[in-house]
Amino acid sequence: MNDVVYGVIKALSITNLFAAFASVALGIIIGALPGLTAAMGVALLIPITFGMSPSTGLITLAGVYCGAIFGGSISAILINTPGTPAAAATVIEGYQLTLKGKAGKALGTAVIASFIGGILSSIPLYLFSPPLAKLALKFGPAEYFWLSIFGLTIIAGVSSKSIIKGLISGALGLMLSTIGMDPMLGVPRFTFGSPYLISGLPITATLIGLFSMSQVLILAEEKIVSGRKFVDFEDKVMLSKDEIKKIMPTCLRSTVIGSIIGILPGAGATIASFIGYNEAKRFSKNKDEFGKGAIEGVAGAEAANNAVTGGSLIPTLTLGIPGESVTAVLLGGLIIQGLQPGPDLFTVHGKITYTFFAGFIVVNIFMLILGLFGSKIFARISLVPDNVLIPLIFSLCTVGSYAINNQLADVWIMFAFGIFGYFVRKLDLNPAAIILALILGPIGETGLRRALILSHGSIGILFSSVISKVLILLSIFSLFSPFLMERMQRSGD
Amino acid sequence: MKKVLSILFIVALALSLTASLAKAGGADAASDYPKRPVQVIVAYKAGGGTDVGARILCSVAEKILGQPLVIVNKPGADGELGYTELCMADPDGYTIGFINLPTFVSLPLQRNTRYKKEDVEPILNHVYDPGVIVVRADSQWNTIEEFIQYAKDHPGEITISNNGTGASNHIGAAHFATLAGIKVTHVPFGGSADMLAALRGGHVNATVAKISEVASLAKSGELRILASYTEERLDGFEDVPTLKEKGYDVLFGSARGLVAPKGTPKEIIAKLHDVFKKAIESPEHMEKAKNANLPIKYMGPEELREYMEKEERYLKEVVPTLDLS
Repeated sequence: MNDVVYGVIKALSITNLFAAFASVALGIIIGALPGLTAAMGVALLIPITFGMSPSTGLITLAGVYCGAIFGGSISAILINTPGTPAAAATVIEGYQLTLKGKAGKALGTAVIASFIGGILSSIPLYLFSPPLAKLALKFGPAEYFWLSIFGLTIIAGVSSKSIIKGLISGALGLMLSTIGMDPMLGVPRFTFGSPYLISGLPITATLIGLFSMSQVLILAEEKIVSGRKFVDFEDKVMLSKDEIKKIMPTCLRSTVIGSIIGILPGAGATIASFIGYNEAKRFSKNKDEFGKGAIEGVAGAEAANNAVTGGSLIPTLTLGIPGESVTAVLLGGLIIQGLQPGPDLFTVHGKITYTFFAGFIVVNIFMLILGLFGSKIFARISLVPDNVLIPLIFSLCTVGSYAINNQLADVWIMFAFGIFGYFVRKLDLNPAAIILALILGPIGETGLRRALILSHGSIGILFSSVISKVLILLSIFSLFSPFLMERMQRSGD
Repeated sequence: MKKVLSILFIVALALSLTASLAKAGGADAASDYPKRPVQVIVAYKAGGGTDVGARILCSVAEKILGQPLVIVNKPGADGELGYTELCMADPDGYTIGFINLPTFVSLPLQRNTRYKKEDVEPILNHVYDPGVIVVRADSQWNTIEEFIQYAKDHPGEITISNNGTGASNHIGAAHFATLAGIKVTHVPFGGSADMLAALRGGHVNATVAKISEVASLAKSGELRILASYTEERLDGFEDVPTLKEKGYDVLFGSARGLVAPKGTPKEIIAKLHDVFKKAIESPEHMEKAKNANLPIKYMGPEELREYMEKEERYLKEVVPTLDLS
């Protein structure tokens, strides 16, 4: 308990407050720039935190992490290009709101939802880290297989226009996910002899191409063909009481979803935000608004991806197993500071750990303040004329995809998927479904094949654990609930 | 306005001066090396095991070298992309990098890489992380003998997780199984973190890991080390037998060394060797390495070259005889 109090006081020291403030601001900028991701932001800062005291260093990394995850929503909402993979689901409703001139409102929703998700995810982090981490270990190959199946059922939810086209997109994504080294046999698949494809398609470069570069092409085309029509612009950021009331249940639901997904190693913010969005839609009273700019949709995605931040710190700190790619980088920062993950963090190094936790809360508060004040300014980005915006996104895409792995090959992959993404959109296929399947494909494939090796070929292992059964039920529910709900509504009329 | 302009002019002048100085440094040879920052290629992600070790060593060494050591992460294809870049870099001493063994020598044997193991000039070895066989502390096997006996009575039943098909831990497990005459089921995972999580969650029976990955878990009583793949018993684990003393002649572990592209001047290699050796031996480095669970083992350039040759012979001669399925 002493450590907890000490942590709060220490986190409020001038140095740590400044570190939190500056790193959140930097994180928001990194996240907002298409192409620069949260993982990259944390990786860039690790060498700098090396010279800081452990608690300040860790707060700085947490600030960049949380700031970037929120920041990704800014470009998602304003220019239809997610700043980080985690914001891919925010695009769906966020950009529609911007098209209606409600960019400010969308940003306000994103800030508030991110704040709620982030701050509430600190509760399990503070109170239940060790037991929750133990539970996460119960997730074996069979459970991951079913998690990916559950994730794939969401494709129906994100493809509101045409289920068939959504399924085609999902299948395309799954096919693309088979590129790279076979995870079980170690044999290259569809790499055409190139070492650049052995690790599979680089997710971030692919995403930048599919969303951002294709947006550049589409904007450019519109400019040439028709010239853009400006929409009425309303820069109100703060939500009304009614609106807050409207998004509150969604935020809480998404926080739970995000925390759980975050705790599971291997499933990250991108998957969480899609599930958060999908459940927001499923349980919404205003289903008609979805796809046309629903603030509940933005809240569902954003609360979930920020709740992942707290959740994924749990296995990182207690087990040394990162919950997602960003915390994998953060883990390195931790070890460099001489802190080995494990029970010692909560006893021997309790002072540092609880300072970090308190800092995590401070970081989220700064995120809210900076986000609300900044949104008014950010929202004006949607007024930037296309002849400035197009070259700007173009260069950011190029720089960003290079900087992920310092590889020129990633830039070519980004361009290839930019062109592919252009046609995807022209054919009304669904880029979000492609990305979702691309991320879930390997989780499902390795889960299934590993489970079958473990059981020496018997498929009984897939149905043996309680967690598997719950996931199977969730998948069935997710798949059939649209039909069921429609039926119930009809019979109700 | 004039003031601003003159300041800008001075800044521009200063910048161009430093630029020309840097150029002059590059053209000059070994005598006044290093004149500018040295780039250190790490072929794995920032925050990974290799990266952490590299950053700890470089943070100490750059103070002795007098120029910054800039770590550049070039991850991808199990390290192949970074290794290729390192081998193709200008051999002027301004690009060096870390290699992992046996990965660095095993990749060219497994597939058509664009580098050969001869494309590098060894500087020194930094880390040697020996292999161990671990089970959960609550498992039914208390000794390696019990483990082997059970495997003999129940062929194929015991599952052992590893960090990827054909990766070092897989080979280590298969070599032990072959020598002990047992049949086990190897389960490949995406990396050592996942491989360990599978054991800790009880999804597999055992794993072959590196000591640095399991030392604290064994001390805290969560895992039990059955045996080590070492010549002598491990420091801090004196009651854990070696496989060798049990009659199974297999040594295995992973090493991380520092190398330069082939053709780097001898004097520069010598200078780098001296600087990094001094850094390794410094109390500051030793303290940091201990906190990060890094088992340090210095080897000079010739010894490291020899070790690479030995690893390659092992992979060429012994590994094809093993049952890796």
